[in-house]
Amino acid sequence: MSRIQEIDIDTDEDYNSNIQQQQNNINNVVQREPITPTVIAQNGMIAQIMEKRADHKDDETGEELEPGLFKEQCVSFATDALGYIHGSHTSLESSRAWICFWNLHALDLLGYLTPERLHEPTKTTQSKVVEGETCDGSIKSRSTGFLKRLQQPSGGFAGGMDQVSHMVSTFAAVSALMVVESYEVINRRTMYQFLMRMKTAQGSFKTQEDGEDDSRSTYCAMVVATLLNIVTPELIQGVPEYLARCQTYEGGFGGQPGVEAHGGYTFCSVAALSLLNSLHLINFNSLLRWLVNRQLDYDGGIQGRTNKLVDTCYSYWQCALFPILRAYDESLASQHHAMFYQNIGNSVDGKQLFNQQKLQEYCLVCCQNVRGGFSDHPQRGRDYYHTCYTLAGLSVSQHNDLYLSVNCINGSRQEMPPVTLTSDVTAPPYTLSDCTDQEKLSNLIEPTHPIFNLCLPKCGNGQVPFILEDVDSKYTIGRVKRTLCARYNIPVKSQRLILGGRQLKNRFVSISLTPLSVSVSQTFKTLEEYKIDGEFPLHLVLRLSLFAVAPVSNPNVRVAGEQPPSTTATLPTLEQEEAGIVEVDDEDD
Amino acid sequence: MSDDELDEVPFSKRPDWADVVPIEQDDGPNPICPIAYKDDFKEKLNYFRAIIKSNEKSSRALELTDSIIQDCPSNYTVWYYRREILKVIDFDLQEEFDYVGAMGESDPKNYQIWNHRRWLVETYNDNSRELEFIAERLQEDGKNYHAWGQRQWVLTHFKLSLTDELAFVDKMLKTDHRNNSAWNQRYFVIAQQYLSSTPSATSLPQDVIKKEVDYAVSFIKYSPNNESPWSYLRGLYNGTSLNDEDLIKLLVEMKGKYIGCAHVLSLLIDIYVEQNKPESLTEAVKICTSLMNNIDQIHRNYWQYRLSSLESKLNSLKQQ
Repeated sequence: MSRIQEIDIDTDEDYNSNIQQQQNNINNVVQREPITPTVIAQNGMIAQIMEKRADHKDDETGEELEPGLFKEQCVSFATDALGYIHGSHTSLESSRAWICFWNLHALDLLGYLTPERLHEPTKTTQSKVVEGETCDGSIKSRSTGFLKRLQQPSGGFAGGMDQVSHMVSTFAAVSALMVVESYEVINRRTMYQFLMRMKTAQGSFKTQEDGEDDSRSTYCAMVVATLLNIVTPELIQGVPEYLARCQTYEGGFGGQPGVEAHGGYTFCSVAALSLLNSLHLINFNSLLRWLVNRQLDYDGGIQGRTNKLVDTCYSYWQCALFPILRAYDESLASQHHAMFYQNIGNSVDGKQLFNQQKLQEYCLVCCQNVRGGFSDHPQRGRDYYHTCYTLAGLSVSQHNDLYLSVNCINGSRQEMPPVTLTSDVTAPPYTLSDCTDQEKLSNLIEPTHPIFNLCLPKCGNGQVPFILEDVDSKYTIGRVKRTLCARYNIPVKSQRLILGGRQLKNRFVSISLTPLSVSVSQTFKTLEEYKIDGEFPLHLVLRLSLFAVAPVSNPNVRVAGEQPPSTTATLPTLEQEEAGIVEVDDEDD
Repeated sequence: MSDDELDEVPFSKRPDWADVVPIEQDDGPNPICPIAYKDDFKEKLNYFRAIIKSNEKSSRALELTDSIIQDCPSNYTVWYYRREILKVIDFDLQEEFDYVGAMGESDPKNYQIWNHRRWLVETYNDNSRELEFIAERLQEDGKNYHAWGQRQWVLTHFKLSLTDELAFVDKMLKTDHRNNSAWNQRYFVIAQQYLSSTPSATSLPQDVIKKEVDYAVSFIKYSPNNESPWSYLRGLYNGTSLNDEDLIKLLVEMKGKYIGCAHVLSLLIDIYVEQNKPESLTEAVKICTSLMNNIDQIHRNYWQYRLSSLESKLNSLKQQ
């Protein structure tokens, strides 16, 4: 072991005036570092990035060019995939739901998937007509027609044709159906049964009947349940505690308790905990430190684990966590913490807690294919997965207001998310003075939801409307809820029915005041009286506020493993409800 | 098990498969993202569909699963069905281990292969090959996530020797001191030894912390910018106070030695915050400013955020 050169530097001035000396010193130390696989791999990566950066210069002036997105080429790459996937992708036979999602969502992020294009009939090479099925050739009908074939009678979706259901494929299929706005083909009753079958005693979810369980599969279950409005206390019992146990000493999360912190699993754990309003269970400060340090100095890109190489897909997995954490941080002590973020506002690197500019440079300059699409590393080929997740990563690193959409997904805070967030962006070209609006827009990606990774208009506010086909207009609101409870196993107390932004109440109390007496009378309104005759989209919002965050006295002390307040509510029995004891919706609008 | 020559004969030309009527795949009219499968692969799937439909669990069905797995190792349904077959037919356990072992060698980052292996180990309660097999995979790629996960599972499931494991990890770290997976494994072992075994313990014993700090420091000396041992060192103090006199002394000394090393400064800031005194917070503000402006500029927005928080803490202390 080598001796370290000792330099005594005590004062701040010395720090500031000796940068060169500092660098030399570090270099001296590093030079004596043994050459190991990690060192070799990292040096190789830096060389590749240097090469890419050197190429990205103006031939005449030698000045660095602004990074730019090859938008049209990227659209071609994804639209081509909608019509034909090369036979060399046979190994993705079990990931067909994913191939759909990667390409459809990529097109959505690129702003290509307008309602017109979604519904426009098109001709493709592989046209086949099957009796009893109509397909107008539009992206929507082709996607819906295929994806619904992956749905299994016992619930959930398979990754490929005639396969068994898989949690991660289910997530991909549901997400893809959200993109093409066809969630009505999803059978929510069997989906709920599938989710419950996959649940383990430790609070995690398995991928398939005899498959592995991990935080990734658990995230998929939580997102699917949230999007489809089938979250029940039973489904999420023990889930927050399991996910919190996946946090490691480094601050990030592993696939299982004890396993190394990893970008993908950290995203899954933290995003799911955010959905469950349970971020108070984790060590916030160590997570933030770990997360920030995944962005590498020279590379500008994001690595998945400590001392691993950067990879474009982590641009989404890791950076989507910044808006999620900011939403939580500001919810704790809004005024106070909002100030910390505002102080960052004038930084040249962007307004979030990572260097948005450098990350976009890594993606656009080093990993973009001239024919469209992205690869993980500078000298690799493009692929559908990295194209989708790089675009999503660019989206979260461009739109500074995405944290506002995080808080719009549970029952307690259900205002509509801002659908277009183009007002506050950090995106190339950075030399804004002499570029046109067209140039500014050319590199912008549509805002994606940090938790669901769906473009904001496709999130359904995090709530898919329920379709009640066999409900009579004479039903009272209470009876509608009991019907939902019977069919979807959603406790009545967790339900709130919303019509056009208004909550439908079980009971109306009218109070008349006279000088001498107060008389109270109550009425139960039926659907008819609400002027609902079956065609109205009723929104069912689950009252996740039952699992509200405990007020924390000192927001900077967040201890992992802290117990939440009462997380279980006593649910009334059907008999009690029938007797009218709980036929009350006490919540005010 | 996989006979290459036999593999070349299409299933439709094999006499022993003549009784099976293959079932075509139906993607529906005009499917989105259709894969242009090669004909031989398509045929195998057609036969597989027929086998599933008739619920045939036989050695020839097992052979078919292998043939599909060779083309598409991530086909979890085929792996699932393979296990369903193994549950009812006689088979040689060693042969199946060899098979999944060879698959693991050629495709070491495949979820299905590791899941299948775990199923074999658990179902037949036989862990005799595991640590060695995993060690081989880690020889090829010291950071194989699946391999380390499987290793932790085997160690806890069969309550294997943690002392031996510590020696293994030490060897891995001597080979590559930047292998963060190995550092994580060391933490896992120490936590198993001192935390999981005593449920009442909220932190590691002080003597263990001291010993492990020394261990981490011996690696930091190679390369002060290596984040892994720094995270490990910090993690040792989980559940207990970082405000430890010996640690502070060590860190201040290192701060003088490793000029410009962000990790030591970051740790010192957290200790000063814990001390929560005007002079320590003033020092933290000073360090934070220098990280933000000079030493760690890629993370400047984070340091700006920390600085705001430090300053507001300091102000409220001064006002008291």
